[in-house]
Amino acid sequence: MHSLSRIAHTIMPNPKRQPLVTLPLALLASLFLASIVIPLAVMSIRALSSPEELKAAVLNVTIRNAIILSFEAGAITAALSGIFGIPLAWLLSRFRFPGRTLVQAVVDLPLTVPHVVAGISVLFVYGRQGLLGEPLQQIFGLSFWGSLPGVVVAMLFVSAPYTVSAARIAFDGVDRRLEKVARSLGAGPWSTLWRVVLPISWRGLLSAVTLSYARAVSEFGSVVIIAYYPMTAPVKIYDLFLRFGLAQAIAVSFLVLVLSMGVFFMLNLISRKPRSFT
Amino acid sequence: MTLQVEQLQSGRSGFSLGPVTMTVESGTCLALMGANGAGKTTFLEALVGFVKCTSGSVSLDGRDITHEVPERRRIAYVPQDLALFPHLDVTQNIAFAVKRKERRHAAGRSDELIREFGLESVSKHYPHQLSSGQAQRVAFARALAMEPAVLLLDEPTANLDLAGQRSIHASLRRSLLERGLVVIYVTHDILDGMALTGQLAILERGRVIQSGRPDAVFHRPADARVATHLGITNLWPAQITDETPAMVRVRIGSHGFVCHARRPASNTPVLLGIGPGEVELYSTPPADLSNTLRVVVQTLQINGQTALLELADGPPGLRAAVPPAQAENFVLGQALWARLPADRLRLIPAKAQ
Repeated sequence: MHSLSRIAHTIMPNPKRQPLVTLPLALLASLFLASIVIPLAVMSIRALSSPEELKAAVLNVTIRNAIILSFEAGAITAALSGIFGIPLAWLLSRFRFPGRTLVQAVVDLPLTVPHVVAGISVLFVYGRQGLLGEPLQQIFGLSFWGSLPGVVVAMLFVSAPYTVSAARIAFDGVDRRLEKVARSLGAGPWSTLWRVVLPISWRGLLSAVTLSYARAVSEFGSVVIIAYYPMTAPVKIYDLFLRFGLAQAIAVSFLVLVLSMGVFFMLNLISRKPRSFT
Repeated sequence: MTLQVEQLQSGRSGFSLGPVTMTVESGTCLALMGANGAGKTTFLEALVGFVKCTSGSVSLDGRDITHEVPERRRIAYVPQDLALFPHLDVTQNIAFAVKRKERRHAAGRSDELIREFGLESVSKHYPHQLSSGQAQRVAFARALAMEPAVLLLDEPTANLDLAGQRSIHASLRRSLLERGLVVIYVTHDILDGMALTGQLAILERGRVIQSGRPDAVFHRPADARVATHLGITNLWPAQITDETPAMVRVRIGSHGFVCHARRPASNTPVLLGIGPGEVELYSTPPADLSNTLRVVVQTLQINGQTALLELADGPPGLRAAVPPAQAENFVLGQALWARLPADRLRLIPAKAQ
């Protein structure tokens, strides 16, 4: 790590000394950042300029419920993606097995599918007449149509690939030699995982789950297909926009933006805390 | 404790190791030498169980451990980069290796090793806060904490200065004597390999091409490949002109030499070999002029603790290595007297036997 940063420091040009190279790059980077920041900033200014509407949105029970549902479903989704995605990431990182490339491609597939298509696919499996939806309803009384479990499966479909990919990167970052040495020093495979791999990679794994959480909370396309009701925050915003126009949707959008960013930054802060051992 | 390797074969990524056969007794250090890619690390990893053995066996005191999982082999492995656990401080790194049933007393065991290796002042430091020598000592202490039967060290002195190397040698000697360990030690440096009594094995393309006592291998290399690995780089095809039980006379072009080495099997083409460090240089004619040539300094290169000279007018490509302090007196084009001591000259079979 140290030597890599030294090499990077050695080969990276000093921006002050090469303005002809760095200025155009800085301009492109600024345009890119502006394309993200400006719409959010304009929306925030508009929302803050109408404090009454903002207050009304905070006090509105249906809006509050939609936001709570989003965060609740996002947290469940993140936990499930961690429980199921992290072991898969470990397998992909550490083992060479037949079909590994295919497994990786399958994991990444939801990233390439339009989210409405993802929602329809999920509906075919978990809907009232779906492959799993019907038996699960009959045996356990578990309904995915228009319910929290439905919101979660839709969110999981689109956000789990982020967990798997980021967790795999976290595991790849753990030097294999540390594991070898741990094994030679008498630690079994599980003990090595628990005492060496996880303590080194936990921040990366937390980042992976955070990414999945952020993706889940912001999901609209797939959720709206399987569960228009109960409304998650994005669906509620869409509903307000269709029924009352832009002005009504702005206050809720701003609330969701602030809360999402707050949680996301907090989780990122924990996972990016400077590591004392590197 | 005896480590016995019988016809061990293994391989990975197109590289095949073996068959390798060797026996190393407890309290013995085997220095393993060979060029990069010779299979030294693969051999160590096969012993510790990271690389599967395709045939042959590894046993410890007669117990077959060929297919045993690494954690049950009692073979501690210290890789070249040491692989200290970055999230643990020195004490925790050492305590990591204490056996589970003894973990209640882990602190006491770690403290003993910390004292033994002089790590008291850095016991709460993390690996990135340690010097190379300290990190090396922590890796040793950690390996010994699991009370291994065999200790495998992959180039333990590669990044150390002379003082650091001596400290490692002292620690190893103590471990060998007090703990009765089998130590296998990969090195590129013949002096490093010879510093600890025991055995020396030269590996090339996954096979042991010569093994034995270090002095025996050093003085009677099996062929030019072994000689080159050992740093005997002055090698010339030689013609034997006379032979008595005490000495052999040889000729290289117009130069005649006497050597005390025994000749290889008769009728075998031979090479005369001597290490650059064994060539003696004098500014004035020495008292004993046997095996002494008049030479001219062609190039002079000071490289750390050695000055390397290329000398003309002697056997082709003659090189000598002297301490830099002695080289300060030499200049390019200067005429010198080079002596190739008879007891340092070796007769090496020109082809592997």
